[in-house]
Amino acid sequence: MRKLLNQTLIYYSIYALVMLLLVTPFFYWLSLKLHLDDVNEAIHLREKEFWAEPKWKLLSPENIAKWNEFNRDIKILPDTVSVAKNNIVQQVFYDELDDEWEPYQVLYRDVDTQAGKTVLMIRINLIESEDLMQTTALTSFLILLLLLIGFVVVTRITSSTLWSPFYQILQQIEEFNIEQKNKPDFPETKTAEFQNLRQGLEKLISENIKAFEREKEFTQNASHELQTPLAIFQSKLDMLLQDADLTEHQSVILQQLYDASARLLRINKNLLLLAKIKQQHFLRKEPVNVRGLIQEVLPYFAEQAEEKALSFGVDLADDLLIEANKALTEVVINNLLMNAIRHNVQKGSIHVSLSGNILSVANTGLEAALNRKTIFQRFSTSSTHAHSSGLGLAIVKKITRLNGWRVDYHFKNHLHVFSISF
Amino acid sequence: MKILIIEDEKQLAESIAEYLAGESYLCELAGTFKEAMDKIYGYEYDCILLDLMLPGGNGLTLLEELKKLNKQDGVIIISAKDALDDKIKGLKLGADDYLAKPFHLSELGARLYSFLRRSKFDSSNKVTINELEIDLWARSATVNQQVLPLTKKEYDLLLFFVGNKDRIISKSALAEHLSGDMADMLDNHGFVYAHVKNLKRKLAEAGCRDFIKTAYAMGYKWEP
Repeated sequence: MRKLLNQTLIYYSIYALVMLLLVTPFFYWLSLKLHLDDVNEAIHLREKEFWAEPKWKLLSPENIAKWNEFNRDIKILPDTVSVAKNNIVQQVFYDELDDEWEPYQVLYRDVDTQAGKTVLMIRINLIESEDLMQTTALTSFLILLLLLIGFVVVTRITSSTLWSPFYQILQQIEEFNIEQKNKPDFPETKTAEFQNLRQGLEKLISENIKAFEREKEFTQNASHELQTPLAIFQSKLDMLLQDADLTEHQSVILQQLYDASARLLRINKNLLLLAKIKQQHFLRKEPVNVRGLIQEVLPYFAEQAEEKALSFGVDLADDLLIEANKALTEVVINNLLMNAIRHNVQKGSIHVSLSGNILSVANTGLEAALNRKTIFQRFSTSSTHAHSSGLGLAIVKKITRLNGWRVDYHFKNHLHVFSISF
Repeated sequence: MKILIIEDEKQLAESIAEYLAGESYLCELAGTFKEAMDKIYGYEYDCILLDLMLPGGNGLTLLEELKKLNKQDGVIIISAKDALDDKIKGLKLGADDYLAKPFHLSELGARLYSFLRRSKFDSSNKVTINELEIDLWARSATVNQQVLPLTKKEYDLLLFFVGNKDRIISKSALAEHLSGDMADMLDNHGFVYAHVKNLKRKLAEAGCRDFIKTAYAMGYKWEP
């Protein structure tokens, strides 16, 4: 990904480069033409001056020789010229002084002197104009180079001043976490677009927070409201059980009602936990020994595993000390272990291991991988297990995200493996 | 023994009263803050079961009032507000126990029983049921002066049974009781059966009569 400003810079640079390639030859051509025009004008001027003095008609061959000896660029030559006359042409001449061939603008014109049919030659050296043109080309190149450097500098300055509100807003949005309620405080700006962006985002965020709060409050209220009828329901079951005249059939139904009520309670309790995870007393952190926590609860789960005759493998290499909320860490460990038992098969196995900062719980179960995308969502259990609340993994996910841990799932060697990197 | 049930849900209050009535408990009901206040001022109770959310006021205020009056009534908070803060606050204000709704009546029975034994009996804190003697202080049980080799869970189970004499206790309630914090995570009740079986065996081996009867297929009854 490229940064916005760098992208602008790339376009500017491409434009500047194109201009450089187009403009430099044009400049070169233009200055060349101007110079030639100048030179030609000078030639015509000299021609006019020469013509204006009619004494040249009296020049004898000796005089012509003398003339030619002292005039380098205006000469009277015998008529042996092959190029077109009365037109300025470009020719190269050998320069004895510099010992090299040099370009000239030349004009030939017939002049009849005492020496008979002769030709007047007026020429101007172009060697200086080459330097001039090189300078021109170099200058235009330099200007464009300066322009390019200017673009970079200006872009840097704009990014640090003009675009700074944008980057600040961007950073705050990245840091924004709806569960932490830290509503971003966007910077004041005088740029209309950023102001609009700011207002739009503020509206969006406050509505999001409101919706989030409403959902949480609703869950919490609903769970609380459910607790009382559930309590009554359960107490009435307890009373019904005291009835001496229950038939066997009725007692079976009663047991089923107990099971259903237990499941209701579990769902309700977990919903409440999900809604309350962000509450104050769950935000308190303390040093937690993950290995110690696992060892504390293992006897309970080992006992629970007996009913399915599961083989329980434990491999806790080292202590792992983390800074976290103890109650929530316990919930994560409990939920993972509970899942490993609940979704296991008769005579299956469970393997719990802790190495480095990774806790993994592997268990046998369904012979197919679960959907990694949905297992951590609420009520997404793939098997409609009678005792499942459908919330255990959603709670795990929420707690791990809250603490910046990573929870992962994969199915390998007939084992469902859940791992957490603390 | 006199018990005051402060609970605005009439149905629940009646169930509690009916369940406890069998034992030598005398239950009175108060459904509102004011009613409760009147009863607290007017009478003495061995234990008060206190709901925190009441029409007309907060249960914690009642608790404060009770302590101000220097009353010796025991208090067990029964609240749907399963918030740790409430629990801590309640216990700090002098409540003796905290039970989150919903609970099994047998759980309440057991808590009430142990609270009352702890507070009313002499320092030896001993409960005698025929040949069985339970030392609440030492957390041990003896049959004919012979100490039973009970595990912690078996001892808890025994106390739970004793606290719910002649009541049928569902396996669900026992499972929750034995699981403690882990309650209602899993509902296999097989482990309950295993613990009860072990307790029965140990009692029998020590020469104690079999007080634990199986009731229907789903519960037990303590019949001394």
